[in-house]
Order: sequence, then structure tokens, then C-alpha cells
Amino acid sequence: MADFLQQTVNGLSLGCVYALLALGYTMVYGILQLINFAHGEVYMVGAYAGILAAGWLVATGSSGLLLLSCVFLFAMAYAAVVGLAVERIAYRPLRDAPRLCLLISAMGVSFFLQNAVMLTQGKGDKVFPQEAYPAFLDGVIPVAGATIGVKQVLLVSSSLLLMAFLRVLVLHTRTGRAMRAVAQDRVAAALVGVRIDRVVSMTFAIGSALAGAAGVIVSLEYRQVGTTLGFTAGLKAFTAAVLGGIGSIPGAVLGGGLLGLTETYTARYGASEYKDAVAFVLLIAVLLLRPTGILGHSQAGRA
Amino acid sequence: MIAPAHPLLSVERLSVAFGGLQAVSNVSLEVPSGAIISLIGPNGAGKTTLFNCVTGFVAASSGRVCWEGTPVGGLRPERAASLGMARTFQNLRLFGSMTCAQNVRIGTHRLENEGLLGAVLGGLAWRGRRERMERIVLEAMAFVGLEGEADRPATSLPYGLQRRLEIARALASAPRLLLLDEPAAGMNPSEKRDLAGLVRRIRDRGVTVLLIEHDMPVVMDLSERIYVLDHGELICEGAPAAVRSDPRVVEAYLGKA
Repeated sequence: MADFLQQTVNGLSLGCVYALLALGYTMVYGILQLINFAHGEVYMVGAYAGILAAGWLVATGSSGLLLLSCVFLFAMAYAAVVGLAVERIAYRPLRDAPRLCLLISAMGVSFFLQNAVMLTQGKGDKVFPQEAYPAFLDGVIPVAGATIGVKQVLLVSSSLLLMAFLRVLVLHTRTGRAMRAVAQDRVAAALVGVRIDRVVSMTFAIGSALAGAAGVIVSLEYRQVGTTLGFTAGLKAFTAAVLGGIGSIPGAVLGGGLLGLTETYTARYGASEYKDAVAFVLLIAVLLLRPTGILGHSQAGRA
Repeated sequence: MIAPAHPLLSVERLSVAFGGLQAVSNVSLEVPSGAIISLIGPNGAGKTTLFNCVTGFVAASSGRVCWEGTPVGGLRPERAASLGMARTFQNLRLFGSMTCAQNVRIGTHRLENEGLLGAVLGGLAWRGRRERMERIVLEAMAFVGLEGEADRPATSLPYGLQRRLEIARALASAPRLLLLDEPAAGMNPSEKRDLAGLVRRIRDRGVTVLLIEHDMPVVMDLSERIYVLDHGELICEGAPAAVRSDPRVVEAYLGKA
């Protein structure tokens, strides 16, 4: 039982990373019907930006929670700017081109970002500076015979906080309403005065900022990242988005959580070498039974 | 009373071409403030293209559109909306998965400005703004006769009421000019009469109306002036009685005898 609780917390913290990433996929898909294959790379860039920021901040003598917050903010802002630039340079000129062109452009961006980071930061893995790593993160909280890491609790709760912010933004602000309107009918949204380009930019900025936060979370979890970080994670998060129903924001969170838990449980109670396979078997099973994903709407309905 | 110097909207020698197809050629028309003006013509005459051009959805190949005498070149839809134009579509363009009230609320987009911070903290000013917007939504829905339908999914309304909902969404943006594209299409005679009454009440609240309509009784009843398009060209303009008896109009609709 204690072990199960432990695994559940681990699964949830992995699930949060997937969910934060899946949100970016699903939001962009909702607005542009584009699978942004460069999203995993934005996440990787966010992780690098966080590690670099941690290095600078430690040099200025800050530490602890303050440093951690600054690292998060910097990585999110940096990822948002990268996301904005990618949309502006690689996607906007192709807005009215066939979907396939956008997809190929996305793959190009993905290779470009990987190589750009490799060129500027070196080929080897980047390590999260030991001095910048707050010691309290390694503390444990005993719960019902199990021990839960302070780090996991912090990461899960900060992810949930970000998702709560996103929910308020999408449901209760002018920008959020505009996003929902554009996702449903771009022409009708433009007609009532919504500036489509601005909404698309906002969507990329928000999705990328969430990816940046996920990047920091992962660099804290594994303490080091490489330039290929984005590939598998991107694929998994995309899976999570499809699992939950692509285009659906609650679906992305649900899909991420489900995928994280499934992977962790499989690794612990099944066979760890099959954890990726199980994730994809789950995807296939859901798609066979519910082709639009768990919370997805049918395409016919959105027209 | 002194007439305003410029009409609210004027279209000057406007042409729109799609490749080799001249959809609108050399059309000029004027919509004075406070009027109901109609645009009629057989299918494919270029009426909707003209609407699309005026509201910034397609670009003109020549000619210009003036708003209160000032040329507005290279108009985009959001700019048209910010000038004070609102329109409805021939085929409905409601946000299908939203409720009626949410649809109309999107219409208030250009009027409001509320940030994430306000939404999270829920400050007094933010609440006041939100309540003001919600009042506008309810007022617009009541105006078109949809009170009590706020929480109903938009697409569950009968067709005629969906058209009204689209009008409510357009009105929620507090437009000065409302462009209605075949609002009476698919309506029965009594619904058409109600619609004509609604259009007149819209004009009476100070919104100028430019109307595309096929239903002649509705057009003749409402319009102060009628422009007739055929094959993209303006073939006739004038008061309803004059247009009705113009041989060119009869020919365009019925063919040569």
C-alpha cells in the first residue's frame, strides 16, 4: 500500500510534465488544426534556459525558493519568446498553405532548434548546477507509512497551479473567449472583431511557457538534460493529448495524468522495459473504442 | 435638420476579381446614416462578394470603400469590426458548441478589456465590467426575442431563432452599421413578418442597416433605397416602387421575354 502511494505520486509528477506539454499541443491544434512537432524542442529549450538561469542566479548569491521561482519565470518567458518566434517565422507565412507544408515546416523547426542548442551549448548533457539545487527538495514527508518527496509535492502543486491559471484564462478572460471563438470558427471570430493573429500568438506564447515550466520540472527531476530531450517527451505528450481528445484542454490534463500513471505502474509492477509499449497500447485501445479521445468532440460537430 | 456631410458607408467604383472571374465590377453605392438600404439581384450576382469586400474578408481589385468619407483601404475583418460594422452570414456562423449567451458574449469582444489578473483576483472594477458585459448580452438577446434561452446550446435552437441569435451577436458589438446577408432565407411568412419588424426596430435604435435579401415583399416593405446587381454590375438603383417597375430588373430576374 505504501509502495503504491509512492508510485502514484511518482506517476502523477511524471503525468504533470506530460500534461503541461500536452496542453501546448492541444491548444495549438484547437486553434490551427496543426500538430506543432516543434513543441518538444521548445520544452527542451526551456529546460536549457532554466539550467543557464540557475547558473547565473547562483553566481549572484540567491538560493532556495526565490531562485527556483526565478528559474521557472525565466524558462517560461524564454520558451514563450521561442514559441512566438517559431509561429511568426515558420507557421504564419504558411497559414493558408496545405496542412502538409505546415507539418514539414514544424519538423524543420524541430531539427533547427535541436542543432542550434547543440551548437551553442555543446553536445554533452547539461547538468543542473549542484549549488543552485535547493536542498529542501530532497526532503521527504512521511504519509501513511510511505515517504513522499518534497520535490514531487512541489512539482505537482506548481503544475496544478499553472493549469488552474490556464483554466481561468481560457474560461474567464477576453483573450480566452477569443481563443475559444477562433478554435470554433475563425471567420466568425474575425467578424466580431477578434484579431486572429494576436490570438494565435497568445496561444503559442502560453503553450510554450507551459512547456518551459515542464522543462524546468524535468531538469530538477533528472538533474541533467540533453538536446534530444524533446523528442520522446514530445511524442509522449502528443500521445497524451490524443488520448484525452486533441483540442480539449481538460482532455490534455487527463491524458497526461493517465499516461504518467500507466507508465509508472507498468515500470514498477510490470516490466520496466515495456513501459513505453504499454503507453502506446493504451493509446491504441482508447482510439479503437473512442476515436476522438476520452474527452474529445467529433470533428463533424466543430465544422 | 442638416444632413451629415458624408454617408456612413460609401462604395466607390469597387471591383473584385477572382482570377478571371469578375465577381463585382465597378459598383458604387451609398449607405446614409440611419437608413435601411437593400442589395438585391439573382443568385451569383456578386452581392455576398460585395459584403465580403466591405467587411474585409476579400480584397478589392480596384475602387475603394469609405467610412464616413474616409477611405479605408486594405480593410481586415477585425478593423471593420472596430470601425463599427457587424454582419451576419448567409449560412449561419454560430459557435456551435457554445450556449446562446456565450455566442452573444463573444460579440462584446471589441468593447471589453479584462486581463488575467482581474479574472484571478476578481477585483471590483473587473466585476463591474463583467456585469456590464453580461447586461449587454441579455439586452441584445431580449431585443431579438431570445430572452430565457441564454443557457441553451446555440445549435439546438430552431433555424429561424439561430438567425436571430446571429443578429443578437452582431448587435452586442454595438455596431453603427449592420450588414444582414439574407436574414429571411428559410423562414415562413409569419417569421418573415417578424423579421421585418426586427430590422425596423434595429434601425430605430440608431443602427444603419445594409440588407441582402431575396424575399421581395420584405425588401420592398423595408428599404428606403434598393441597389440591383446582376453579373457583378449595378443595373439599377432607386426607391422600391421605381426598382419594381424597371424593365432591366424584371429582365434580370425573369429573363428576356
